[in-house]
Amino acid sequence: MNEKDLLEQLNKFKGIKPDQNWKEKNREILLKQVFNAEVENENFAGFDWIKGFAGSLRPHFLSNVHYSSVAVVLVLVFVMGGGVFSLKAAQNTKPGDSLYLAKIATEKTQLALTIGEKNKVRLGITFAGNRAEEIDKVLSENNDNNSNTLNEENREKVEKLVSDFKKEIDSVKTRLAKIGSKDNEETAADPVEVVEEPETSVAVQDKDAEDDAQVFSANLGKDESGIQISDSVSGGKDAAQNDDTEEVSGVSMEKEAKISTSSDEALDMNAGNPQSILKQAEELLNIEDYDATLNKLDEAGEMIVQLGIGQVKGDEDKASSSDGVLGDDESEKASSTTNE
Amino acid sequence: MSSVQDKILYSRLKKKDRKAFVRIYDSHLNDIYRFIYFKVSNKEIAEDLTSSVFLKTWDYIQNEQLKDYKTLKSLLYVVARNLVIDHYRKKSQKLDVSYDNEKSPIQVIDEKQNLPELIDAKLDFNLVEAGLSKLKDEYKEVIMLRYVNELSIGEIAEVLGKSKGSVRVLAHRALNTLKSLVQKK
Repeated sequence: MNEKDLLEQLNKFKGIKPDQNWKEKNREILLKQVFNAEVENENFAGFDWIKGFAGSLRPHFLSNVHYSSVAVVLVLVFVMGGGVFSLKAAQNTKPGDSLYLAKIATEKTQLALTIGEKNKVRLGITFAGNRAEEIDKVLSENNDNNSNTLNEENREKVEKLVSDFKKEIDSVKTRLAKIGSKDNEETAADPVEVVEEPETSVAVQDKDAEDDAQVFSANLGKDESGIQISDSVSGGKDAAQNDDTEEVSGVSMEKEAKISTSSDEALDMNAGNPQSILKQAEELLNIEDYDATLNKLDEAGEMIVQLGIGQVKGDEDKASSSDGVLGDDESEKASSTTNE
Repeated sequence: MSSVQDKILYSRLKKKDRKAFVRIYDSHLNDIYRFIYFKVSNKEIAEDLTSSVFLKTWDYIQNEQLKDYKTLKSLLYVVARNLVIDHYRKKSQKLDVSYDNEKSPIQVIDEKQNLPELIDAKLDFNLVEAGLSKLKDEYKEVIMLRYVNELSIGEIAEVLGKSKGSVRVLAHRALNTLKSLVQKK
């Protein structure tokens, strides 16, 4: 057999063919398998890029973790992160914007989650400020449209915002009033801090041995409050000697000066208490002076911080009681008593 | 099929074109089936593996780039070859091509021939068949690809992962060996 014959014989192997029926059936089966699988895959096609992204981001130490798990974590991060970005984006919205409702919802949630009346008051003032800013934005938008008069839609928005502003201010006032009444009750129920102050001076001057161990302090250890009245008199019985008396008196005088300074500040603040400033803010809003309204609200907020209104009872309260719980009248009284 | 047509077909497959899939199936099914049948010598196994070749190739095209293979034909043969290797690895059977173990032997005789010619043809075919069964796997494979399925030297080089020169040498040696085996008979 020569090469040509051999090649001819080899050519006959082309006769090896699959069964025609099988060929056709198999074609149908394959088409179903391939394209049905494609339909199923297309349902999840939207997540393919996330899976791919997760795979590309997967660090080496997570190589044993299935990339689907990484993808799930990434989705969660995006969802949570997206929420935070949305809330940030909602901050500068005004009525009519798509994210304005989100802003209001966030404010309500924030208020509900805030602990402490003082913080709620501050939030209320911030929200009132937001309303004032929104009114300003709505009006400036109206001006941008070159119309001198408010159109019906903007008028409604402004009216609603003014009403919301007033509601915020009212709620702040209510809270302030509540805080004020609480403070008064606390002060009445716990007069030690104030009432004992004059006695402190007397006790030191009398140098009574039984009182030596007593601590005469309106606010023990809270030096920063600036009105600590007296340290413990631990000098023993010798403290009754004249030299010591003079020394203690010297300290007492120094602290008296501090108290009177605090009282003066309190009196200055009394000239414009938060309630009255809020009232002024309302009036300014009524005359459509929004910048001044915002300034007044800032002023009220700062004053609340300075006065430490609404601190909850506890050590911290005591720390601020010298300038917060201790009312203006009371501090005046304390200073006058000490001066005596 | 030209390389341009091949590329067009590939891009259509990539876009999940149903007709392109049917076309590639119809064009290459017989050759792939034959290639596999030569290696497994069993009709059912050859059918199963042939089906798997088209599914695997489809998956490969959807998920990978065809950069490693110049033609779809080469890709199909590489997939077929790997599937056969996997099949034997699973079964731990020795790769043994035998055309006698079929219950229904393949009919390759032209029915128009008369009886003496038929007998001669049958004898010659049996000689070649016997000679092939004695060849080593590497030679059998290259004879199958080059002289039965008529792949180009370049295509065989891609499938076997060898250079064109070594494929040419391999094919020449395989044919000479088969010739000597047939002539001995």
